[in-house]
Amino acid sequence: MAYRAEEKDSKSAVQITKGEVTAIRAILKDSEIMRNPKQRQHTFSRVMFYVSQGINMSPLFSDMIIHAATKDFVEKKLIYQYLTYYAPSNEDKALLCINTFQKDFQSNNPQIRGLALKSLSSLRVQSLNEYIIPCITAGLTDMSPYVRSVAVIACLKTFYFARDFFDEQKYLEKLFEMARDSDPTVSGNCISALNELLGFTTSAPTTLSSQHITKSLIIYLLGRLDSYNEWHMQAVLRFVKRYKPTSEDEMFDIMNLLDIYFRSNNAGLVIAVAEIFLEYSSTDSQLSNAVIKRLVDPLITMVISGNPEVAFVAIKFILSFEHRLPGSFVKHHQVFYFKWNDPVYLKQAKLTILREIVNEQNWRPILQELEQYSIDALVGAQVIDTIGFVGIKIPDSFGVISRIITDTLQFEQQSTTSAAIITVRDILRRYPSAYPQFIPLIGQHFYSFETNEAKCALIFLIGHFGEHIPSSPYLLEPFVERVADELSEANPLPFVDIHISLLNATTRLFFFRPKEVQPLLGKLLGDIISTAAQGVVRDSALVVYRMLSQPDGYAKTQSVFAPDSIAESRFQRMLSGEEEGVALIGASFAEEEAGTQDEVWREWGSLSTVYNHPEDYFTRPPVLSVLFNRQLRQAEKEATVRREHEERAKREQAEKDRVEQEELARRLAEQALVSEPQFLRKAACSPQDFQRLWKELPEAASEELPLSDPIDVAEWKGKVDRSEFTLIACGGNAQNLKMFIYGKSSSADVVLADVRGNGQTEMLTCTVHSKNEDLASQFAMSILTILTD
Amino acid sequence: MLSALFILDETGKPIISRDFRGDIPLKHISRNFINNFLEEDDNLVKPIFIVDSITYVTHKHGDLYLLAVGRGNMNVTTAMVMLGKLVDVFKTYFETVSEESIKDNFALALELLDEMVDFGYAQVYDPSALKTAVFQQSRRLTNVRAMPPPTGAVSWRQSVPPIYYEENKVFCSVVENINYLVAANGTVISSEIKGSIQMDSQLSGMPELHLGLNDKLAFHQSSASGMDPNTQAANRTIDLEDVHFHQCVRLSKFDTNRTISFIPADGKFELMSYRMGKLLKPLFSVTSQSYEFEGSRFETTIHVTTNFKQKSMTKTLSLLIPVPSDVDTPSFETTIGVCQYKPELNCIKWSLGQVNGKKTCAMRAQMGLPTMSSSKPSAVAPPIKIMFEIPLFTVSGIHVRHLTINESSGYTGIPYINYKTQSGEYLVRQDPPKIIKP
Repeated sequence: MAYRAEEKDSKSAVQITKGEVTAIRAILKDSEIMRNPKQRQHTFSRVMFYVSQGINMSPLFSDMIIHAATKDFVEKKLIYQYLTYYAPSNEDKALLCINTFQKDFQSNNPQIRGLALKSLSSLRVQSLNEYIIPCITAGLTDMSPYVRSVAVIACLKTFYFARDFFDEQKYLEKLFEMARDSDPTVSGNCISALNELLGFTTSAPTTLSSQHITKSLIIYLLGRLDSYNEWHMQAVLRFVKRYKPTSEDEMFDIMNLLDIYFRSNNAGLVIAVAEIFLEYSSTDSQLSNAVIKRLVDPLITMVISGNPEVAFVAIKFILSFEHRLPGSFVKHHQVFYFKWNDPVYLKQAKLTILREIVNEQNWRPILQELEQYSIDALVGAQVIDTIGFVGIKIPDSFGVISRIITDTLQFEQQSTTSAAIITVRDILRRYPSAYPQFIPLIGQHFYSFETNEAKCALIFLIGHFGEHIPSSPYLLEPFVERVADELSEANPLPFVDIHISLLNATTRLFFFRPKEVQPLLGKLLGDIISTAAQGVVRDSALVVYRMLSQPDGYAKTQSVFAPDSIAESRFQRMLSGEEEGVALIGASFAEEEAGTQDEVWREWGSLSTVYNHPEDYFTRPPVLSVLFNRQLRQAEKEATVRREHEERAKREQAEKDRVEQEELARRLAEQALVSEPQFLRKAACSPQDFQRLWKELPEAASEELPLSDPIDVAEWKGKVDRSEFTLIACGGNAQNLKMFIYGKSSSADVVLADVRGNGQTEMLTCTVHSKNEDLASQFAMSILTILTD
Repeated sequence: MLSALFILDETGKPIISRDFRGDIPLKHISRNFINNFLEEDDNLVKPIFIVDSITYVTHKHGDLYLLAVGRGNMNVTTAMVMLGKLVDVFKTYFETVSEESIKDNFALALELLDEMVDFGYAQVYDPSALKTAVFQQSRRLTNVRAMPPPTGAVSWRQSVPPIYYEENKVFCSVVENINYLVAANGTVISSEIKGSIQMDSQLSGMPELHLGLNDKLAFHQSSASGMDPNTQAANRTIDLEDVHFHQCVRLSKFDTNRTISFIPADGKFELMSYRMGKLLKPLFSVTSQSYEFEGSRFETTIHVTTNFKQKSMTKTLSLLIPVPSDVDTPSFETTIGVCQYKPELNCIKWSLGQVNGKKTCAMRAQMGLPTMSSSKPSAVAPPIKIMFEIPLFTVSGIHVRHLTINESSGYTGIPYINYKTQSGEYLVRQDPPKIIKP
């Protein structure tokens, strides 16, 4: 139902837009309305508004071109924007607007020249490049710095849309020249463009190499750094980052010069400076650490900036620092406390950083703070998880954690309580001796959890610390009672973990509380062995059962499931394996990740840090990936089409088959009706007559059939005898059989058959003599059918 | 660089979309944003995400989402700041930036975007610089000389034609936003001052300004300062941890002799921002005592004491006091101010208005509770929120000593200096109510 409603909506949306396009076209053509300046601007705004909303306004292209020669500047801007949007899809008509653009490019007003050039260079129509390129080249030497700054970016555009011209016009060389333009905006745009072009290391023109990034250029750019606006400063800094200082002194000179820009109120600029500092200090760990310390304050400012998105990114940067130089932010744990309105993602990010920076000194206030957050409906579970993490890192905190967990377990929120019980299990796996602080709270309540992991955690705790819980067998009881029902469900797979845990726990507890647990264990084993399907649960139950039923089974089983000496047991060895697993969570890096992390570190400040993946992981050369996507889409489309074809073919085939079958059935029915009395039953004929007729009548049909079974003479004879035909003579053996059969149709046509069966070639041939050929072949088939059936 | 920029409404529908580079299909951007951000599970939402190797950078502002999309490994901080500052620029043009105001000023917004970003690269972001390039209303070309935005070394201020004011004046206000988190027992868990100096320059020509802050101010340079924190405290210096300046400030001069000199941008801008993270004494002491008579009523008593100097006075002061979600029939008694029950927030709002320093005010509220209740009292009670504004006062003690104006034409401009402290997020935790069984 919902689907149908949606379909209807989308349909009506299309209709509305179609209506709009027609309505606007009518307005654009209405000279009365278009004479009113207010109406005009409103109309063009409306068109652009629909464009913005993703509605295709391309059909209006020719109507918009007519108005392109407007004198009004705001209208001009709107119309030009429209034209650049739809020029690629209206290639043939785009030529019509070139004239207007070119005229505007001759204007006395630099802003109009700039606008015209900006629009021209964005047209993306190959066939018009011969008109566009001269304008760009002229723009590079325009008197107005504004036009030059537009022309510089236009050069970059040609790299993508008119690569031939880019090379032919030597734009790259020009960009390097113009990096020294007297105007900082022009120079800054040059540097932006060069940065991007240098990024295409593989496809960059051969002339482009690092030799262009000369010391003198870098000194020149740094010398006038103050004159750039804050965005161009960032471009310049990213350009400088590509430069390798020739000496250490030079490197320190640059760093000293740049240090003041950490004071910019543009976070992007601060990060750009940081990138250079980290790049230059990458070989000197001491220096690199000093740089990290230098960045602590600016990053904290970003975190408390009040802008959650910026704070999120800052925390990602901080996280990478904490991995590189642990401890840089431990003193600032208050910064990462939740704010009232923090979005969930920021709270999560703050939890990850608190996890990293918690240590022996600051765990108390951090835990106190985390406790406040545990009631949070959305991140409560993650908060509890973090609290457990603190516990694993700092065993001293068990007292406090135990109290928090106790409070939490009473709190009626499933996700939080589930996280709490899992936390207790993880801590006790790591530190089994800490049970006195946690186990008493298990015995206080009957808990019910929704998730399997939480249920398993509770069963684990009851089983492995059951000797310290007075009510432990009764806590397990409800779980055991449910087993039979769970096993008989259609899909018992989700319960596998629970049943294994239960088996482990009950068996272990059996050795501590034999009297109370025995019936429980019996029921559990019985239920599983009798109802469970083949698999790990049943196998495990059988292992326990057989171990226990051996003569010395009790002791053996005990040594496996409930050893006195913890160190010796197999089970405990398994546990200690898990212990390592738990400890690993505490380590910031797994070994195999280290290489990737170094790569991420080298790309610090970019998206790599945010995603915590090296660049290659999430980027592909833009053109390639577009191509690839297109191919993929194409392939998908083809596959869909093929599938549809196949399905249609199948459907058609099925339909055809059905029709054919019906046809056949109909024909057979007709035939049956007509030919029912076709052969007279047991028409009489003497062997002499047969011989005579055989000679008189021509051969009318001959049929062959391969034999599947050996020939049984008596049976075959019987078969013919039982049929409506007359057997005249029969002779031979299983290897070579001969039969002469006579038949007479209702229309008095006679048919004579000579049937030969060959045991060696396993072939059965039937030659029929008759005047009526149709009848003959029918006769032959009937005989062969009778014989082989 | 950005490939395209979107301004989307609350439901993710585009209001403005601007394609800068034409290298990504725009068709699915809005849908992907809705799927991966708006309709995604809260636990999985990230403000920056990637779909089909296109990165989405989001910025929420009121009922709007600003969305920058791009390919490759873009400079994410730059993209974010571009979005943030875009809102700032829009603000100077539309007053408030909302779905309505953008729709009303659609052509203007497009015009602004066009000048601000070219092929995904930020160009001009200074509102005063944009003024000449962008037309507020439709005008005939013959009437107005269109001017490209200034490109020279002083990109934040137009020089041709020179700015002219009949009366030359400059407003300088020191605003401190303070965040506090105070435990129920009155100890400060965290406190932050986010200070800024906001300028409103109405000066002709190209004036050169010098700003002097109070002597005691010691700018914290974490790497350089070897001073013991205790001696710092003894000298009563102010520890501004992280100072950032507007682009117009000559950073090199500040670095050498700590003077702040600049050619101001025209109109309103933020000259400088600073931060102080040292634990401060709380401005307000709040004690609360609540009782929950199970099944009958809820009672709470709040005392709030203003700890700042007696001669200072709040312009506004109000407290948001959380109460259980199912209370009814509220009744209040206050020594000062009025109380209002806000059921939509599950809070009592106590508005005190103007209160002098060193004063204690009290409030008592009594509310009914349903006999049968499904909600259980939790171990942690939500905190009390304090909102206030104190004029002519700074928590940090920062003080503008002088602000001089030099212009080649020699006019005298009048500086006006103002101070203000206001609440950012001031939270006081409270103990959970004592449960009294019937």
